[in-house]
Amino acid sequence: MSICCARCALPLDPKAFQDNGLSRCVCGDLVHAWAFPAVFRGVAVGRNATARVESEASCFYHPMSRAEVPCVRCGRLLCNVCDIPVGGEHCCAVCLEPGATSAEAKYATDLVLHDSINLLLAAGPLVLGLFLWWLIPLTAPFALFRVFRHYNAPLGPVPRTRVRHVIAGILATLQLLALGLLVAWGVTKAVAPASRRPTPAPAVTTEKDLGD
Amino acid sequence: MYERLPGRGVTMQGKSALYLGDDHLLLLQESLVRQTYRRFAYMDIVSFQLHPNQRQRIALFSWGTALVLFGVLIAVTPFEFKIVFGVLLALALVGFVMEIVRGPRCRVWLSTAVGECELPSLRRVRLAERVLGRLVARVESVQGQLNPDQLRHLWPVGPGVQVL
Repeated sequence: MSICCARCALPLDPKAFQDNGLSRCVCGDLVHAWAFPAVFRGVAVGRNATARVESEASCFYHPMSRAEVPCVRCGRLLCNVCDIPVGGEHCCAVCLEPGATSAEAKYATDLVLHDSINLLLAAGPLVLGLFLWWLIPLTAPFALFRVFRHYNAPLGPVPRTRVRHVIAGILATLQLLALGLLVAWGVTKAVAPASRRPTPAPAVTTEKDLGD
Repeated sequence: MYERLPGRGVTMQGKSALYLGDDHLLLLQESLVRQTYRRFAYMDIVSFQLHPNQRQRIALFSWGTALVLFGVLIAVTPFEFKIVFGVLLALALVGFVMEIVRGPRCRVWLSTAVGECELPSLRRVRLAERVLGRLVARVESVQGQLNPDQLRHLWPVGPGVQVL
């Protein structure tokens, strides 16, 4: 067992593991390293499922295998192959699927950032206004719809607020209001000349006309 | 639940940061619309490696070249251009000073029994040593320390000899 240089994969000099010790690897890199007892521990080998006899409960996913534990989330019985130990609990793969519910967010391996997408939709056409202003009638309602749709979506395991959702909602609302005002102003402008056109004055008959 | 560790790196995959969990270290990679998480249980961490490198010198040389270039341009160009190059000179000066203040650069790797992973948020020696100090203490509180006898068993073939 040896610990190898991360760049050249050759075993590191023991001096690299001493306190404040720097050693030069064969590849020329200076290295300071810290090693832990896990270096002597081998990789754990997966367990096999046990064949079920008639009187025993079967795994939900493998009917021919003996059930060992129930999933703590969904209660389905699991064999050794399907059992995933997580933090002292036993789960099935379906319950650990990222984004299944907010409770599983702490085990997720990736997450779509709906709040960032909404903010991009709402602020993008404003920031790139010169080129993308014509997209606002499409992006603003879509961003507002997405804010309501994804407001309660999981935010992931690391601290994160919903402030992007809020900003996106405000921006989209303001854009829609501005669009509405623009349309109203345009309609008023188009209708106004017809309504303000002076009506022809009624013909006045004078005494002279009557005399004639 | 998680405590954010200092340092933020930028890679091709996006921003990167480290979070300290109860029983594991979380490596976060964040692109524009997606976050990716990698978890390393303290129990499974085999080693950390810090490789100081010469990139600070390259950066200082680049900033220095920019300073000289903009200085010369200020001297030879008419007044209207002096303002533009003056601003650029000031920016280059800020970059030069920041590079000196932040200290030498490095790369850090974490290894487990099944592979290695670079920690892109630790790109400065001073910062990396501070963060690794905390991480090493946390890992040792879970695994214990390697004693010198155990350390000797790590080199059955001697350093610098490729293990086949």
